[in-house]
Amino acid sequence: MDPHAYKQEFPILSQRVRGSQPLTYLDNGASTHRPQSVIDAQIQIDTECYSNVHRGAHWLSDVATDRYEESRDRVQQFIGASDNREVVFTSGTTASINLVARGWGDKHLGENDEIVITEMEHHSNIVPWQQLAERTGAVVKFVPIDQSGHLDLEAAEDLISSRTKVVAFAHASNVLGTINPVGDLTRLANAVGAITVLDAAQSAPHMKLNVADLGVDFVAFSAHKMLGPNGLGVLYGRASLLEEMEPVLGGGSMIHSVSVDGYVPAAIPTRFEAGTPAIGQALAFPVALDYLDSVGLDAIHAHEQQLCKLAHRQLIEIPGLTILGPEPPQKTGIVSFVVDGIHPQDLAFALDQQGVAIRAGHHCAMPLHAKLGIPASARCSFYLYNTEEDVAALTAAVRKAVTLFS
Amino acid sequence: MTLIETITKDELIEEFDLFDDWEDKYRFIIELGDGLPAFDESARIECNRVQGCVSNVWLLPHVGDDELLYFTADSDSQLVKGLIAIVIMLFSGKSAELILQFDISDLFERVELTQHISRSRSNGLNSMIQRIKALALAQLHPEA
Repeated sequence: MDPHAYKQEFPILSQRVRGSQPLTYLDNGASTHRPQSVIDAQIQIDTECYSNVHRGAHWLSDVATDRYEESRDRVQQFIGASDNREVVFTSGTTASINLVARGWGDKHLGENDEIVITEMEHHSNIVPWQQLAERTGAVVKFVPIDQSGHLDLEAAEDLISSRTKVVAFAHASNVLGTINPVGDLTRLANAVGAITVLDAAQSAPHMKLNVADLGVDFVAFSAHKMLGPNGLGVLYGRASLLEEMEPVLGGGSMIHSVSVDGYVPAAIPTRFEAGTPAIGQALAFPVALDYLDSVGLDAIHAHEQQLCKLAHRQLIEIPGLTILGPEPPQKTGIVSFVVDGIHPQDLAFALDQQGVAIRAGHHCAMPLHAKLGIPASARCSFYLYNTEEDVAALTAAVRKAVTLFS
Repeated sequence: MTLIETITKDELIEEFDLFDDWEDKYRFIIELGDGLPAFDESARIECNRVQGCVSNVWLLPHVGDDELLYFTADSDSQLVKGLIAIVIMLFSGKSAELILQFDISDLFERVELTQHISRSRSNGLNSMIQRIKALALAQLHPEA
């Protein structure tokens, strides 16, 4: 694949920043950009077919509703779900995980039940479970990571017991890039009758995802990390589990009927989509998925592996620099690092001055950083439009920053 | 005497005007931070920590016999520490009235460093300025 050609299709990336420097965008783990085709679709939607959905007695609403449901079908197909009712539109991964924690968790968990997560989770796959534990008296347990940044599966086996009701974990770490063994964890969870919740925010954009093959009960991801509009996310849930879940938000659209005596919730997935959803975003999302399919998820993954290897090779030459987590190919295209004696924020500021966009901080993974014994790290994350020149710009910028702060 | 203890606000602006690239500017800011008096390690405690999302700032205020407010501070980021030095230069040893009147964003804008005070969630600098202003306000209106 030719990332240079793809890059041309993302107008925002051709900008000059901080003076007249080319933009080297390496913060894709936080959010990706949108190709011209998605931008065009958003404009077309706003100019031709935007209206509220599932309400209308008019032409525009019918058009918008049809396309909204077609988007659901497209997502269903993209993730290999067997039923379009298993695709719930949310505002993002965070909302998706919270929906499971409240909608399923509040109903099924009680005193001393256990929720098993991992030390490498993003806060959005930690805090909803801690809140659930506060509400129900359940306990959250963490599967530790080993020295190389992989999950300790033996420890997972010990932790997952008959008391475990939920096993929730990232498909890929947002800091280390580590790709976790979904099959192993799912087997352990299934053996004790626990549900599995997969945070796919960092995997759905980068590798082919098939929920049937993965065998998990719930999968959460965000459109804005995969070329799509922001403000839209997906919760895939097994139909039988969604059926027994409570609607978390009450309001318009999510009901079958309401009377002064009470309400009857609508069928799934409408039950979970109270209020006016992110209509324009949902309508445009299929265009992003088409783009990803046209490039090919396997090609994207292979390309990111190449860049990741190159970045590892170049960065590790810099004195005092340590890369966190495993080596490729056991990870996605994320490279997080620290440099002795230099605060990651200082690195990020100096890189920013050179037009290189990375992220510095704890990346919403404070327990992971605590485990690693560091307060923060610098993270670069690649996508299909990044090139070998971007890696070279990164390395040169880090070298300059290290010289400046040493 | 270190640079930050002797330089005035106008000299600081003049100095910044001389830089034509970001590296010289950043080097100067790092140098300002290096000139801060050593922070009392026993004061590096939670209640003196001004939390930022990414970097931390520790701020130790005290009111002198002259009723003026004095500050010492530190950060784990070299750049933030240099910017702290500027804040301290402007605010330490001043009266509460003067502190409340002074709009620091003008100066940061003048020397093209506004990105560092607008990123309120990512570094503790903006929170530090807010805390200094709050302390000044509390000194003026102790009953509030």
